Amino acid sequence: MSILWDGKWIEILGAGMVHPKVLTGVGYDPTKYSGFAFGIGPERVSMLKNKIKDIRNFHLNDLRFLSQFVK
Amino acid sequence: MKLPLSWLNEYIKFEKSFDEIAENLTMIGNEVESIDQIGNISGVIVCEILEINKHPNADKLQITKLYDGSNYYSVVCGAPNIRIGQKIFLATIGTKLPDSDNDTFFEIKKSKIRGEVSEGMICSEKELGLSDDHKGIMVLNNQFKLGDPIKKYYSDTILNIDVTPNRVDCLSIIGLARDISAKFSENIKFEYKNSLKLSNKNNVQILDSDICPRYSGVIIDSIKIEESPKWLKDKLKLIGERPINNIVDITNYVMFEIGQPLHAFDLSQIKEEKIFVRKSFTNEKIETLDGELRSLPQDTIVIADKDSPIGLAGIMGGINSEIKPDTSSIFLEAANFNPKNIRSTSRKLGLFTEASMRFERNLKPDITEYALSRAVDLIIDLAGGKIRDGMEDICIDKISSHEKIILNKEKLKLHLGLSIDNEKISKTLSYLDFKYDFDSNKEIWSVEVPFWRSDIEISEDLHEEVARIIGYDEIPLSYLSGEIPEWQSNKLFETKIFLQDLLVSAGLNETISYSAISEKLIKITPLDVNLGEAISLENPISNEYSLLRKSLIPSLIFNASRNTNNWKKPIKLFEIGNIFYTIESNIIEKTMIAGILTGSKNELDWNQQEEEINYFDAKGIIELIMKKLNIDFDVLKYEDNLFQKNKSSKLFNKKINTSLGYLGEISDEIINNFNFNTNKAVIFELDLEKLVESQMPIIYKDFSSFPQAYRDLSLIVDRDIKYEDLKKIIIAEKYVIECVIIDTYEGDKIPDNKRSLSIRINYQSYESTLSSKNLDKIEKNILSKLKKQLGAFIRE
Repeated sequence: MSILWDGKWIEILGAGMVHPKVLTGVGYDPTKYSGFAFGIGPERVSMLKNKIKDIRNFHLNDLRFLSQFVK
Repeated sequence: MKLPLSWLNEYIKFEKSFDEIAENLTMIGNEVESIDQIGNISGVIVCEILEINKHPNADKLQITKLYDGSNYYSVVCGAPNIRIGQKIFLATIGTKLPDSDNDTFFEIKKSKIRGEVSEGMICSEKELGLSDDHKGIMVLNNQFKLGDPIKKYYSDTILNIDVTPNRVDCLSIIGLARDISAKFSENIKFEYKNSLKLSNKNNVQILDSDICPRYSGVIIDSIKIEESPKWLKDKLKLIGERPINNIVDITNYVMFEIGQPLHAFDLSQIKEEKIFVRKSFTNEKIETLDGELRSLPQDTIVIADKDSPIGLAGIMGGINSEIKPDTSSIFLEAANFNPKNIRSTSRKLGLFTEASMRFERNLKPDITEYALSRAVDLIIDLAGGKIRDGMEDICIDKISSHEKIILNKEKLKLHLGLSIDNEKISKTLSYLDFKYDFDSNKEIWSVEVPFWRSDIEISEDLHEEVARIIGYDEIPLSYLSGEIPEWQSNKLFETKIFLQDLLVSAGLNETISYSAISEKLIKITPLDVNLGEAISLENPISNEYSLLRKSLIPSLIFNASRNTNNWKKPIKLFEIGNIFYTIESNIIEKTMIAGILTGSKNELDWNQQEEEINYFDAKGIIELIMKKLNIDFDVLKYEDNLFQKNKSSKLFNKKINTSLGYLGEISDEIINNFNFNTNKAVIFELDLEKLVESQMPIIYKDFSSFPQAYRDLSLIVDRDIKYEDLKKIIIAEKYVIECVIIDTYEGDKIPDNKRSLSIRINYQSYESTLSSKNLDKIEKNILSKLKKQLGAFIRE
């Protein structure tokens, strides 16, 4: 899924039907159950919202970054 | 993958705009990332060079006089290859040339270059977006007419497609055309053909059984190496490939057309005309076509003659067997190689080619013969030549007869949430070239998957095919329905959220570190949590992330130390995350909460002295956590080289009879090794699951309405006796409801190995007011027990 942000389409989330092997792996019978999975990267959203240029900042654990988000 | 629409139109004829094609390609899973327009530049016209004069003020520039059939232009040019009489493309004033490097335009303006007026620019192929060639201006042949716009000769649209790794078939024009044909319900004009006879010679041997499932090749004699014809060169340029000579260009052309990489060797350079496909020997080297001498990693597949390698199989040819202007006989190869070997060699050498990209994505061996036949036809057509013996074809594994997959309409409907007409399903399968038998009673298709679709293995994959061609947009919106399942609380998760909020409120910052750490970091795992073997990753991104952490402490120490260099305020970090280890080959995963404090105790204020964080600040946080979770704990002695002596403790819970975690001030050695810019750091780490288990319910007790009494005791004890030891005895006494430590003293007023502790004790009775006499008695009891058990006595 992409969202329109500042006039540009940005990929923000992947989604799809779960592979039967995965269902079997976690103990569900794929002939009885199906799964829908979707996942959004919170970093991506925060980057857009807070105008953060580098995604690596999220994992630097630097107080100059972290201390701005104590809310 | 670049898809020029002119090339696409050779297999599929339809009147669709490029937007429409791009949009639909994206919707069926072949995402169009960008679109390039070729030749659509107004203002670029064909001119002839009438005169060339030296530029008076610049050695390397010349002034040309150009003519477009009706107007004359004076243009300054620096290209080395201009000659009088050449036809060229002139970008006249006002032309906006595309700048492909950054998606912008470069406008041609009337200007003076070193004092001379220039009315435009003579263009190279690169400046016109036709290729990457920027060595000189583009010289046109006689078919170009003066004054004609460039659009008349070059006009194309190129779709740049991000092909997903499972679709190796879409790394070819045919593959993309087939997908588009299914979406628009148009037939494609294409058939896999092999008109080659089989040879009975044995020129090729495969020496390892698992490296090369199939090797097809043919010898062609009496060829003439030439420049390729314009149509072929133009096609390769459109798709981003540099034309070299007719033979090499044909092999590239066929690869882009149908997806199978080919390679041509100069037959005269192959000793005894015998080819061996084998794994590389130790210390073997080859100079590849790009001029690099490469040491071959282990398990590299090479094409070799009896003496040495002549090609890096599936990646790049060797320079020793390169096609040269005087080559007259070639050995043409179309083979299939083990994707794992190709991927591994490519990665190790950092050499990624169009061929390696296709082989590592599980190309099927079925296709080699068709590619070979197609290339041979083109070679005979464009370079003359005669086939010597026919095709030599070695298949290690029998080309698999393809298994049938059942597509069940009922299952499809259940999976997609959409009922699709039988006819539509059949049509989709047909356009994608899936053969099938349809049972109309059972509504079941028995589908034979074509060899080029290595991504399709199970019926769900067929569901996907139907869904993507019908269009995901067609799947209707529906809401979840049914009974809402009963809510079940997850204590561990709730506690985690609770503690996150609590610690942030207490002034700590939350960190999130990677679960994988380096060998250096894992060494600072405290003993208390160091219960098993570290788990190493099979394929780590780098050595810095090769082991799974057994404690959150190493990353916290690393993070805190880095912060000390540019953060002058208090540094208080915590993390909640999982740790991993094995005990007797069982993998254990646990959630821990850990923290580190270093630097100054408080943000500096005008009325405060700067004071460094110490052991008791960490203990304060532990007490806060325990109080909020209602957990009783004892502080026990804990020794570990990672900590300062006597500055670490274990936290023990009696209810579950186990350690909950530990706290302590880390050793000077670690402070130095990690370049802390502070002198002290204290850490703690607690097992979240055990915290949850040791929580107590709140039990209300009627309070006493009789007054409380406070009395202080100053005691002298041995130095290694802790307040906690005294407290245990004091609090056990009847009528004592609380005690706190109010002062400690070590020094010259008391013996050397002793220290003094002042404790305030709070007394209260539920039955009566305690008299001074009563209190004396209780106090006496306490003192006698303390003396007996710990050797404590009153400080006089």
